[in-house]
Amino acid sequence: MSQAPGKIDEDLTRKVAELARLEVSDAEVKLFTSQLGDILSYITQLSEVDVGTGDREIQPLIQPIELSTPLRQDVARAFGVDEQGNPRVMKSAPEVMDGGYQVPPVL
Amino acid sequence: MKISEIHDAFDQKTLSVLQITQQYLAAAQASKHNAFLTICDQRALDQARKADQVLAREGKVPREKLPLFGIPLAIKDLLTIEGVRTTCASKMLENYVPPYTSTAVARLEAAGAITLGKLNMDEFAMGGSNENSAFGPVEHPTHPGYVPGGSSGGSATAVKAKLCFASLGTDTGGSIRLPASYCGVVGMKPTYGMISRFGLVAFASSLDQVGPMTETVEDAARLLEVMAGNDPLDSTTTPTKNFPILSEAMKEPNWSGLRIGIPQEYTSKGGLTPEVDRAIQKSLKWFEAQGAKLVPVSLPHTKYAVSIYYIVAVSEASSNLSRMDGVRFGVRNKDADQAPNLAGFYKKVRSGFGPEVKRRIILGTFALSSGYYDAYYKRACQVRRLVKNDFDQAFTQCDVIAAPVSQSTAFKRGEKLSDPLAMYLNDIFTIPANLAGLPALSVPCGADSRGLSIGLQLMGPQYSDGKLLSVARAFEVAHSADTATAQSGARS
Amino acid sequence: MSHQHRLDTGAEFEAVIGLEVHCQLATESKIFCSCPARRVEGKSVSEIAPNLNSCPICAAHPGTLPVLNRKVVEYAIRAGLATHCTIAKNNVFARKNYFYPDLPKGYQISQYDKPICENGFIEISTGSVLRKIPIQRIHMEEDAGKSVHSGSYTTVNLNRAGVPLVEIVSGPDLRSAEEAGAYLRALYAIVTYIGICDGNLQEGNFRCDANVSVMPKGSKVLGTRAEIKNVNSFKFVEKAIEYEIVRQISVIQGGGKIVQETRTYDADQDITISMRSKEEAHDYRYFPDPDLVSVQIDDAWIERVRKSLPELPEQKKTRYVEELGLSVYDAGVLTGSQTLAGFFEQVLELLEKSGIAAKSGAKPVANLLTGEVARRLNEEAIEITQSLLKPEHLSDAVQLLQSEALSSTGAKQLLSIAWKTGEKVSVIVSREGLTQVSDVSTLEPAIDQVIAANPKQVGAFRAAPEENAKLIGFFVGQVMKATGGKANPGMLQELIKTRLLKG
Repeated sequence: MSQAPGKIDEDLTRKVAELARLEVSDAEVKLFTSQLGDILSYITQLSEVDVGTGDREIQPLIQPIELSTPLRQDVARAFGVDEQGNPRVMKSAPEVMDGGYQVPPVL
Repeated sequence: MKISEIHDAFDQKTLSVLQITQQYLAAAQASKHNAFLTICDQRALDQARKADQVLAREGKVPREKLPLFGIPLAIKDLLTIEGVRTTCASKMLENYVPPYTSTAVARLEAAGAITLGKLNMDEFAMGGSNENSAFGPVEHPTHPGYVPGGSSGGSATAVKAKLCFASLGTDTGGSIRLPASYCGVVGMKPTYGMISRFGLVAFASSLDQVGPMTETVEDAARLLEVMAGNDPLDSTTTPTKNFPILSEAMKEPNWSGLRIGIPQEYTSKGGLTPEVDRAIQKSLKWFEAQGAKLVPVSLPHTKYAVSIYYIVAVSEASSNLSRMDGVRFGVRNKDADQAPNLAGFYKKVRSGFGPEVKRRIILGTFALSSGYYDAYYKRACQVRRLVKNDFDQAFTQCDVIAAPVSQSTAFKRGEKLSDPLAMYLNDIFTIPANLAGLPALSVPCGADSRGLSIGLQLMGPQYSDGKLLSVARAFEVAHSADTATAQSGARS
Repeated sequence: MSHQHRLDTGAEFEAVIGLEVHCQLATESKIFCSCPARRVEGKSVSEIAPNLNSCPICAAHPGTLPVLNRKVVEYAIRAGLATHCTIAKNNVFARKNYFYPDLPKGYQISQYDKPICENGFIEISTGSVLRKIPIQRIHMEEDAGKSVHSGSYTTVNLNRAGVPLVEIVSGPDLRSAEEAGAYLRALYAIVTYIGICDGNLQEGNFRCDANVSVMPKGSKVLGTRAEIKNVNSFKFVEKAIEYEIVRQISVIQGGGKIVQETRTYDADQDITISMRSKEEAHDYRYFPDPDLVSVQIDDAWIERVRKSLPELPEQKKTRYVEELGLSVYDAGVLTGSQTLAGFFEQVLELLEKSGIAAKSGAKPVANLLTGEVARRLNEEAIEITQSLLKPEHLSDAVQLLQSEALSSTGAKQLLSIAWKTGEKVSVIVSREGLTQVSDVSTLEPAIDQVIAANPKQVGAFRAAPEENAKLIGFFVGQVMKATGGKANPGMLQELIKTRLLKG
């Protein structure tokens, strides 16, 4: 996928929707492509900012509070089961089969 | 009414916890605002009865141990509570009952608060008007037909319409401050990392924060203090365990030593409506009259804020929402299991997302995809650092920054829906504080000719939350006569 | 096995192989949550009922967040130091985004452009050739759950989701299946030695993916590579690679092109098979995980870890060769498993206690361990501590060997029985009558009997002793037969020679 920044066409919209596992109707593809096109055109203003190069290139800011990752002691603790002995974490599972989360067959 | 006054009433036995809870529950059930998605009557009444038992045993409210004793709150439906349905205002989670409670709510309840229910919002916090809920829009609390702002629209309306004493909202790009401004309540987004995000369904991990929405600044400070502090379950929280927010908030500001920064970029080309402009100017003059110095400051990268946000936030969101796949929880479209393959399965399940959510996921997926990452995501993060640097620089010249929350007051429902870009641009004043991780609040400072509220925004350096609240509190107390209707007491 | 493959046309190809090993770390809890990582009530994580070992965090419920397990970082540093890597003091977790049912978050938390360890190497030996194989990187990541396929549906078990892994990536520097096998064995020895991995191949503690390509010999341009995944034993990895090299060469020779794809190995047919149906161009959309960001490691921590490292396989091997006089081969076999080396050293300790110095005991013990015992361990894919053999078996056997109370044949028999029953050496020896006869007064009559029974050979020897020296062997054999193999063959040589020459 390579396009000039700021441009998105219907083909690309479909490809990206597929990557994100989203179903998009033809009408949505048209609408999104146009709306996203407007948004991306606006966003190209970022390319005018001088972010420096090489050693002087600006470090991206990922987290506004720059901490180091806190570390947890290596102690095990189970989340547990309910009164029937079923894993508590599975209470909201939509489809369960043989104790596992059921999904369509995967080849 | 304030928490301290309610506690006095409990002590004097002119009010019981059960009574106040029943009153709020009745108001919530009767209201037509569509502010609540779930009302936890049984749970709340149980909590209330237990609290009254404690009261009977102790003789008076144990204020030190339980600073929020018997106070009925409502929670934005983006935070989990074990056993209570959490929908995030999405069809995808219409039936989701979490197996654990968010830290923020757990701390509130541990401090004695009663949870009345879960509040409506924009789906997955994506929106600025609460028109993107899968369960219908939220009505403005005082002006029917107008939007309450978003995404914490339900949280703002519920407080203003007295359906709860106070509420929790969340703020990623202005989602507490904007509805607080539109509805005429106090809304605070604390410093990033002050309140745990454990149990907050993630929209944009590096921007999201939980915050209180209240009638008074003092009570916002109380709620904030109870929730704030390190959480071992959230790696992005501050290492500090406790913050003396309330005592700092109750201090009278040292006016002559206070420098209030006025960002040039916000006022000159801001596009503010004349009424908003006037209200902000009036507020600034009031500060000056107290002895504060108004200092012009420059935040040169302000104009890029919306672009940065709409890359960083949607990129993080596109990844955070990948877990919504109908496998371990959530609604599973009946057609999904008939899908011919796995990709088809996921697409059927995820067709439950509303259009705004879909749009942002697509945009975020695009911004992270190979070939575009450097131009979009990486660059946005670089310019984000420049935005933060702007603030660091500005705060060497001032202590607090004052600004509008929004260009205008609340607009009519449906007015902005067709133009997503216009909606996004509405967030221009609120987004920068999220990008830089700064504390920022909205406090009512006036109204337009239709009576629609105008909010004044105050921002400070990281961890200056207490100081910010003290300035806001002084302002609020001085102006309480002007905004009297917002301060009327709880029913008795 | 030569790493050059000659074809009928005379053209020569060379193979280029890189290996990615996923090593499960032997921590108590998972990498980002407190669920148990290894054992739950005595059973391994993969043995207990599905999803019993899961929580909202590793099941990716909305609102949950990862918190990094300190031990995982420590173990990754250990792995890096043991393989001579540079430890990145600032390293970053990144999200690898893709959709699959056993990946609950829809992304795996891994490391992308700032891994914790880089630029190390390990030494491997194939035959007598020693080579340094570069290790490009080692990074931390979480394991996925397991999908169980049952015809019309698939179920997902998240017990394993979130178990900590280090991924160890070699450079594309291996040139043959044999080298690949040597690399895997050496790496396996290292990770088990330093205690970061339980090393149970059946349970999937140590998994290997092989990237294989071929190119004309001397070419500077790498060929397209195929990735072979999910091969569970070192032997099968070697076989899969061997097959794949030949397959790729024949495709090219036939005018075809190699497709970049994922393949699996079918052990029954000894072939690799394309998994193309699972394959699609993955755009993982890596970006730094905003819930974790930067792991910071200071020099003090690295030093503490360095000091705590045990003697590594290469150091041990060198010591066995130089100080104990073992052959490179024997040292290699013994140090190939930390458990085996530990066992070996325990035997030497026992021998020291009974007055046999390590230097003199080492060779005999090694002989016993690297022959039949090693073969059986390999066959059953177990560690010696899982067998019935104890260090006492070996030390007792060697003591008997040294005092010539046991012949080497006898020792082999002894261990064979001990392997099956675990009985004490003294019990086995007396019951089976294994004691070697070294008593001259018992041997001479036996020799006389054999000499009397074979006049022809006696005559032939006496006629020309130098030319017919090998006839002594015949007599030795006969005496051994007559004594049921219990005669001391060394002694027999001399006694028979003397007796024959005496006339």
